[in-house]
Amino acid sequence: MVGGLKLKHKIYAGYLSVGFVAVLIALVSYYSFGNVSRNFRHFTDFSVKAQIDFQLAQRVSEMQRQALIFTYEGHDSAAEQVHYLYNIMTELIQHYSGEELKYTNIINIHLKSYMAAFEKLQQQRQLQHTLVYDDLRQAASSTESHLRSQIKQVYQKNGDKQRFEIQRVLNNLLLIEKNAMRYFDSLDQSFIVKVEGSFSEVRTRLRELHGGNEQQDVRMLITDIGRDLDKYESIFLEAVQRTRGYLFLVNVVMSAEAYEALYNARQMSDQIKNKMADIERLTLSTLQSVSYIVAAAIVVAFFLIVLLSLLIGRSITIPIVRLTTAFNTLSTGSHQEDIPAYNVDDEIGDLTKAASIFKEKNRQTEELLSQAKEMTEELASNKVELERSNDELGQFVYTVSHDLKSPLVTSMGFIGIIQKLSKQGRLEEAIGKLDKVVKSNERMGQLINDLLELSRVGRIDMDKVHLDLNELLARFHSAHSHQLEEAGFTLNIDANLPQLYANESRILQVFENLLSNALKYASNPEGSIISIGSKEQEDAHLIWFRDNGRGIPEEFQKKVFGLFYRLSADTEGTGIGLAVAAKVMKFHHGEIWVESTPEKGATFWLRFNKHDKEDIHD
Amino acid sequence: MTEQAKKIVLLVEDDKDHADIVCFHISEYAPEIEVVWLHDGEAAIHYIEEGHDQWPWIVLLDIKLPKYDGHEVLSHMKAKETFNNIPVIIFTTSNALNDIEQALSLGANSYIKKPIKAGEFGSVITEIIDYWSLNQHGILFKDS
Repeated sequence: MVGGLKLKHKIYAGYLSVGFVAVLIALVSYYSFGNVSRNFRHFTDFSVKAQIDFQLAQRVSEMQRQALIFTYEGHDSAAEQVHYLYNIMTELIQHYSGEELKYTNIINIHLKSYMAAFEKLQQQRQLQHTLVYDDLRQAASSTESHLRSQIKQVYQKNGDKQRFEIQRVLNNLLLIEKNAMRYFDSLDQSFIVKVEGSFSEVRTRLRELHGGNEQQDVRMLITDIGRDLDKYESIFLEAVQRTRGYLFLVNVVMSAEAYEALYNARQMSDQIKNKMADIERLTLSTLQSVSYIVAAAIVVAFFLIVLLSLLIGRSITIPIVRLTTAFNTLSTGSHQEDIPAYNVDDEIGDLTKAASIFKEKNRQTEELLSQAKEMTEELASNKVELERSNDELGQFVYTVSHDLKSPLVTSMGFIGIIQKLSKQGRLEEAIGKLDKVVKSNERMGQLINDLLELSRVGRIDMDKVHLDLNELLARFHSAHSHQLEEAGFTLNIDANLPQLYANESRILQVFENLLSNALKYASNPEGSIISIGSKEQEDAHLIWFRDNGRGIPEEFQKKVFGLFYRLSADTEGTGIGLAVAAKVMKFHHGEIWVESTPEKGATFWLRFNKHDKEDIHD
Repeated sequence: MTEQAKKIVLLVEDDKDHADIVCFHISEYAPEIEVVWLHDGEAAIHYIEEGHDQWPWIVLLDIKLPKYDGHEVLSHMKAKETFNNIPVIIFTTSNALNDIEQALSLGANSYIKKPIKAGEFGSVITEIIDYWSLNQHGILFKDS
């Protein structure tokens, strides 16, 4: 998922993802808290409304109280207070809108009705006041003055008895006034009863006075008083009536209106409270869900970031760990270690390239080392070979100087003898020795020829061809058949001899030398037999050449291939033949050796490597 | 050894012609000397190992011999008690100082290089006889 990104891009991706998640959480929080704050504003609005509502209710109560004060006390300040409160309330009501309007409209209607009733109350109060303090008093004083004038007349005519009766009526009249005033002051119903009682007593007394008095004028006067009294009473009753009317207004109509207003205010308050509760619930649940969402977002973000970090971290650390292993292995000089594939062009990519270069260097170093080792080995073997060649050359010079000198020494020796014999006059003897000198010189010539032949090996006629050994040895056999017959030897050649890649004339020379050697040393009185055959090896052809002669003791088996080495001084030959054979085999990258058991013949082995296709010129 | 004892020279030489020449010269200068000629190293070693009535009073030894060379023969001689008092003269065509030095270190007493002139050979034979006389008188090789 992040494997294909550059290292720095992975780190940027990590930062970006963290930033993205943080912004996401912030957005979620912002949105959620926006909701909460909106709810809070609503709540505050409702809270203000609830407060106003409370004030409204308070004002209604206050207004009613002031109205009652005005009713009982009649203070104008109380009436002003009522008006003032009313105005405040109508202003307060303006604050409402929406659903509350339903309530405020009703409240408004009730308040208006209340105020209408209050204005009516004010009028009634005014009328009652006039009735009580003007009309009632006038009626009372008129009745009293009639009565007093009666008293004067009665006193003058009837004496003290009637005077006393009238005085009592007067007292009752005063009592009526007093109690009436008390009633209007206190609005206590019991005073009305007392007033009514006093009225009826006054009438009773007046009737008694009217009956007991025969005097026409007095009777007329009493009748007038009776009329005054009626008027008085009717004024009183009207005043009572009016008082009751406005009391009714205050206690029933206005308090009902106030109650209605209060009731609606409470209703509204309840509604507001419900709404506030709703908002509260909503806010709480919003807050809760916000906390849930934020918590969930943080948890999800945390896991996302952890996952992403792990992915990025792994995509960085795994290649680094692999590379470290590779480098550790590379540091041991190995170049077998596989460099983990990493195709992104970043710092790890650079490291991977460095590891590949490291590996390549290791490989080159190892190659150079192995080349150096090969060269060292070659040098060492060359040195050994050179030393051996040098030794061989020294040996060769030594041997040649000795063996070439030998016939010379012989010649010189015999010439010395001939000289000596000649001086002594023994000419016959001296001439007899001349033959020795000739033979010795002939031998020297032979030696020189053989040495020339030896030096030719590897120098001249070394072109190799694929040759058929069967065909070659058949020719060899027929060429030497006469020689073999003379020496009494039988030559058996196996069929199916291998094909060789070799120089024909030199190989022929090897077989001729082996044959010459066998003819010299390997005769068997019971019948000399030579056999030639082959044996296959995995990488070489082995050709064997076997005789049934006396054999060669083990200690001489290596010496026989040395130059001028002869097993016997008696036999003819220069001791070069096997040396030539060995040199020919060497130039064919092959080998010659002999195996032998004394008295049981000798077997010469020739080994030709199968894969030798190189021409050797050394 | 008595006066009548034969004077034997042991000649180890593979070349018959060379042997003939030596024999000729010895017979010319001291006919009383008997030459025993052995033609290779193997025969020489056989001779050393065998018992003899009379031991040679001097050995002429060629270095380059078939089968066993002069050095090997010399080693055998010096290893054999009956033979290690007998003077050995190396008789060789070799010019190599190595060969001669090796032989001297192995116990050879002197050396003659081939070819040798007739006159020279005479003085060599005289020298050999002198050696022999000195040996007879116990002057040479007394302790060896």
